[in-house]
Amino acid sequence: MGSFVDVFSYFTDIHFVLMVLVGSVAGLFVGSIPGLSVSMATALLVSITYSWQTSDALATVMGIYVVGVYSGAISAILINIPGAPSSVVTTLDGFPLANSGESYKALKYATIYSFVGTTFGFLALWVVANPISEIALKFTPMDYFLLALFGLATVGSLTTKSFSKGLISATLGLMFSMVGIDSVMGTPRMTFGLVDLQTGISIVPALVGLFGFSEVLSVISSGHQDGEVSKIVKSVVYVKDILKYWGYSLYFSLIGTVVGALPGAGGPVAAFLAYGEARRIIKKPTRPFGEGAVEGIVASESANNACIGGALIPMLTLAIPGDAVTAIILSVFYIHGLRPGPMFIKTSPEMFHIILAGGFIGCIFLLLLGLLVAPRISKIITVPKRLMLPIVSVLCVVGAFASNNRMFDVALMIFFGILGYFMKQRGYSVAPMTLAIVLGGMMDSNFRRAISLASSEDNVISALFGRPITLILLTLTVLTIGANIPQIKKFFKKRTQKTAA
Amino acid sequence: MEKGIKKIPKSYLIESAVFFILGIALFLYAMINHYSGIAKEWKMSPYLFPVLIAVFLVLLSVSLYSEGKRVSGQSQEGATPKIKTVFIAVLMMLGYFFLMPLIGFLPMTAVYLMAFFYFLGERHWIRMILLSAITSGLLYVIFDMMLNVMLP
Repeated sequence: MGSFVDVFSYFTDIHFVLMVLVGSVAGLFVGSIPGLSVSMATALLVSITYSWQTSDALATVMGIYVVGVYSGAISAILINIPGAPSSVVTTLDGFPLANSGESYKALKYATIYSFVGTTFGFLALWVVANPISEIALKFTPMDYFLLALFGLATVGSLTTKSFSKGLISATLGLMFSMVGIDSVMGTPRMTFGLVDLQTGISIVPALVGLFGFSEVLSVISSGHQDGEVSKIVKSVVYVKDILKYWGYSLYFSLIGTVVGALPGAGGPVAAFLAYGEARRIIKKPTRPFGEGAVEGIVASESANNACIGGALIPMLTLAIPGDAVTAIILSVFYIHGLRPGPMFIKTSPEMFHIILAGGFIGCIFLLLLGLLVAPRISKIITVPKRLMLPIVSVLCVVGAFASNNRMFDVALMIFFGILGYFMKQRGYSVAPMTLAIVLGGMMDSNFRRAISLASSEDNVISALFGRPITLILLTLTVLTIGANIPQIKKFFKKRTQKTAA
Repeated sequence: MEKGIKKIPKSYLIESAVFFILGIALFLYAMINHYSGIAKEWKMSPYLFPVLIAVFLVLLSVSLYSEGKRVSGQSQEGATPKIKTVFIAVLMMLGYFFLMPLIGFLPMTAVYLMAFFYFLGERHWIRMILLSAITSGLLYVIFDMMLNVMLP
């Protein structure tokens, strides 16, 4: 009850609500303009919020996150280009529906069910964060190491077509995270005599480079095509017709929350899974799937938005981010001196409440902006890239500099931007690298602590892996890696074919 | 063996070679620094984790090479990226980076934006001048004056 009052007390804090609104409006535009991503906006925001109060920073970030994920659907519906990867599935039915003159209806369905999905995800976060924290309290350093390794392995396997490339991206990220003064021995490591590298590779310039500047280069490289907007004709869409799907929506939201809580899976995977389920369980859709079925929009939008709350669960309770945006949000916490993990909800309950309040207020703004503003921003989402990209690149410079007020960070941002561009061109996702840069320090210190503790025991192996939680995590990690090794995949495929024959 | 190498797409071969060399270099760097550093015991060494990363990177480079073998023959199509355009965009960014401390943030940003707008195909001069001046000014007002964020 106390927690309930604490969370909802922020609804009456005008300053807090305004900060969420600022983030929400920014999220609406950033998410809906193809080429600008929520990750990019959050990364830029992290550098700006250095001097802000933590509550203001988190309020704005939550606004951007919640509305930004939703607004990817606007361009998916109107111009058939998803504003965010998680809205790819929405294009399948959203654009055909818009093309047949029902874009208003498509936007309304997307808004309502994004609201349902996001609210469901945050409620799930509220309910399960505490029990998960209790379990996480029993974690040893080896468990943390394995958990982070499991996270990197899943991110590596789910974000690219090639598992090797996904893991290489994560390994390079780990390598970058090793640069700087070693936290245990206090000696410089991999600095190559450069004084500027002694503080390590700052997360902010790396993120701004990987998600901001590299995106600018990628859009330039692809020929920066601007899309054509479907005409929006206002039509009557009955609430009872929209709400017909709430039961299905809860199921798709559950899928989204669970997938979101798995490190690395994120919105696109959740939306695809939910869409597959929708095709399976809804026998008589309003139109065939892929030709403008509102059920497809319901599935995709409920699931990808529910991922937000899901992705925050491992980030807050285990300090393992669920996706790229939560990895960036994790750095907001670090910048403001907060340490997410099993003790976080106990030691900083007010921060947990701020996140929940920011999320729920963001949901309300999602609904308001989605219903009132989204149908009117069709002109803005097609702002010519030749005007938008130069401004974004200047914002990248400002964002990178603002993190530590030094030009060296701008140089780092340019380096990571170029690296990110080439990685994307060659099919290496930058998400595993981001997660690895954030988690690398923690993995290193926990691994050494685990080895150090185990070395004083008689049986080192049992000291390292003898506990049930450790064994489960080890099994999960080995299975994730093993299941993605092509030879093993081939072996099981052959066996399945033989059994079927 | 030679026949096998020929089959592998060039990009896979180059990438796996780069990561293999990087892994070996990191391994050697970590070993040399460990044995010349203060911590002689591996369990406390700052180079224990880099060694693991290096070994992993070498294994992954081999895995990438074998993946290249599997995809040999499959088309590697996709839109041809405009590398030259990207190269010029990077050069412009580097010019912006190096000249900014000499000329100052506001004038350099305006010049950079103008040049970038033109480079990306904008030909409406009044729009270019207005947008670059307004953006630089707005950035100064929002970041420096309102948000108290230092500008380069």
